[in-house]
Parts: sequence; structure tokens; C-alpha cells
Amino acid sequence: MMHARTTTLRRALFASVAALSLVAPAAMAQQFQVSVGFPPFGFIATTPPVYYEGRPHYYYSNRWYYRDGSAWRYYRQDPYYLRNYYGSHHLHGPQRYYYGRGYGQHYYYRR
Amino acid sequence: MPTSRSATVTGLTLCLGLGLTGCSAHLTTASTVPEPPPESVAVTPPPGEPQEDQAVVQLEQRHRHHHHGGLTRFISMSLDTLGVEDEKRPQVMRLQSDLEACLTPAREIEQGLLMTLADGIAVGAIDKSRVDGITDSLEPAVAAEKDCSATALDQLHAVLSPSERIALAEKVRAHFEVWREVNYQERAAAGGRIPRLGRLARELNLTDAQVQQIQASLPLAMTTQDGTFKRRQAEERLSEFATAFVNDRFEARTISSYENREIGLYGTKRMVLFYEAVTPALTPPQRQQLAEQLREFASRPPAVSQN
Repeated sequence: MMHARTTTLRRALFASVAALSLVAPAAMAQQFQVSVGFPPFGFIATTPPVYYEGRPHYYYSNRWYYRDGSAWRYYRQDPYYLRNYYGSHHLHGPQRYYYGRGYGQHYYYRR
Repeated sequence: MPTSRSATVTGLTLCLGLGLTGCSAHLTTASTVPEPPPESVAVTPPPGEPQEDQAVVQLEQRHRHHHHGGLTRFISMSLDTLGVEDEKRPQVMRLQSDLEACLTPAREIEQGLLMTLADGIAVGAIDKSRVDGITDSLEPAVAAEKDCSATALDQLHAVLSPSERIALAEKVRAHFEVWREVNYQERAAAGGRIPRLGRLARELNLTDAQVQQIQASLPLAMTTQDGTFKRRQAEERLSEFATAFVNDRFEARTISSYENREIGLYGTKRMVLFYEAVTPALTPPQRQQLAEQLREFASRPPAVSQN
């Protein structure tokens, strides 16, 4: 009787630890998700992206941003392709799209 | 018995170890995947931009005055800045023209509405029955846009690369958020600031008394409005569309979320309510200035980008 109860308790403990080991990673990972609305929506809607490594990138406030799930990320050290993108295309920076009078005009982004 | 206890401890240790390993792997993955580019870091938002971004100001003006087309219009506008490869541009421009053609009936009705509002504002009294008649005629025109634009949308999906589809979905979301920010005045009902009013106050040099008068009459006008904007539902639809569009297979007609009615009609009704509340508080020169502004918005042609 005693042995049966001990076995049951052990099984329950095993099951709890096993369940925790499966759930904990996902729960802890959630804390590391960075979800911010940046670059601003208005900037994304008026600026062509640069495509690099299969993702659209936006140059904003002197950084290259890309979306990674619900987070935006930037590079500590810009990849060569992005660092030289505008120079190699004879541009001063991102083109902006203006919806004012005579819209459809492009201007170069300076900041 | 000791053997059994030892086995239990070993088992528990193993299980916990596996869990922590999984946890560690998950943490590493969450901060770097997919395919981490070199030296990337997660972003914390910097302080807001001090000066106004004129491209964004003009975009907001456009979203304040053109509501027809809903999601289809956001898609079409997203093509303005998609930055597709050179060889695809003619195709994308043709598909954007096709989408714009589907929006033409509703756009013409909306132009008529803006002109009617401008005429009413100029003389200090908006003709409500005429405005309501125009708004009612907008509904079937907006409803027809989905079927009309489905083929163009399917073709667009086929033309774009996976990364361009991701960019398009992101831009549609961005247009929706800008539109929502300038039109969805939930805060006004709770006595909060009305974004549209702040812009108008600067443009027309409204006095504090005028702003307060308008601010006081707006929440009352909005509580009498038929229907409300279901923000959560709109966001879910948008997410459903975005998820479907970035997939390899896409068929616009089968997506229930691809819906223009709510955004198009809600935005139009709110715009009308806003100008009905604003007009009595304005001086004659301010009314003339605002009327001219609306006529100018009404006369802007649809654009097909050079991207």
C-alpha cells in the first residue's frame, strides 16, 4: 500500500517536471520578444525598402532596420551591401514618397 | 529501494536538464532567428522625432480625406513604395492601374461628397440630406470592389517575390495604422484629444475657444452615429490577409478578411461628422479656406506610381 502510494507520487513528480521542462522555454522566451512600432508606420508607408537576405530593410535614423517576427531589429555593424547601398546607387538616402499636391514625387531622405 | 531512489533522482535530473537545455536553445533562437544577420540587436524605441516629417503629414492628410477602397486602396498605395525590381515595374504598374480602376466608382462618389461638404462649409451649413444620400450610394460601390480587384490581386501575388510580399503586407499594415490613427477617434468619446482637430487648428489658426466648442460638440455627434468601428475585428482581418498574402498559395476570393466595407464607410461617416461639427464654429474666412482645401483634395487624381 505504502509502496503503491510512493510510486504514484514519484510518477506525479516526474510528470510535473517533464511538463515544466516543456512549458518553461516558451514562457521564458516570451520575455525576450521585443515588440515595438519602430520605424514609425508613416515612415514605412512612404519609403521603399531595400531587400537584403530575403527581408525588406528600412534605413531610419542612421540605422538599417528589419522586422523579425513581432520585433524590429537593427545591425550593430551594417552589412557591406547595406552600408554601401545608397552610395552605389548614386542616392543620398532613402527615397520618400509624397502624397501632397502633384503627388507621386520622390525626394531623397536626409536626416 | 536505494537503487530505485537513485534512478528517480537520475531521471528527474535528466528531465530537468533536458528542459533547461530546451529553454536555453529557445532563448538563443528567440533572440537571433530566423537566419541571424551579423551583429544584430533588438530595438528599443528612441525618443520621438522632434520635427514633422512632411511625407507622413501629407500621407495623413490623404488618409483623412480618402476612405473609399479600404484594404484594396491600402494595397494600391503600398505599391507606390514597394521598390520592386526594374523588370517587374511595368507589370506592377499595370496591376496597380487595374486595382485603381476597381476603386473608380467609389472614388467618384467620394469626390462628389467632398465637393458637397466644401459647398456646405463655404456657406456655413452642410446639406445633411444630400450628404446622407451620397453616403448611402457609396455602400454598394465599396461592396463591389472586392470581386473586381480579386484577379488583379492574385496576379500581383504571382508577380511578387516572397520578400516583396512580406514588404507589401507590412506596408498595408502601416497604411492601416496611419489611417486608424487619424480617423479612429475613440479617445474623443472619452474626452480625449482628437488628432484631426489638432491638425485643423494649426491649418486654420483656430482660437482656443473655437477648439473647445468643436471638441464639445464632436463626442455628442459621434454617439449618435450609426455603427461603430470594430477595431479588434479590423486588426484580425488585416492579420489574416497579411498571413495569407505571404504564403506561397493565395486566392483573394477565398479570403473572408479581404473586406473594404468597414474601413471605407466608417471613415467616410466620421469625416462627415467631423465637418458637420466644425462648420458652425468657423469664421467666414476660415470656412472659405477649409472649403478650398476640400475641393483641392477632391480634385486630386488617382496616382499610379513609377515604382
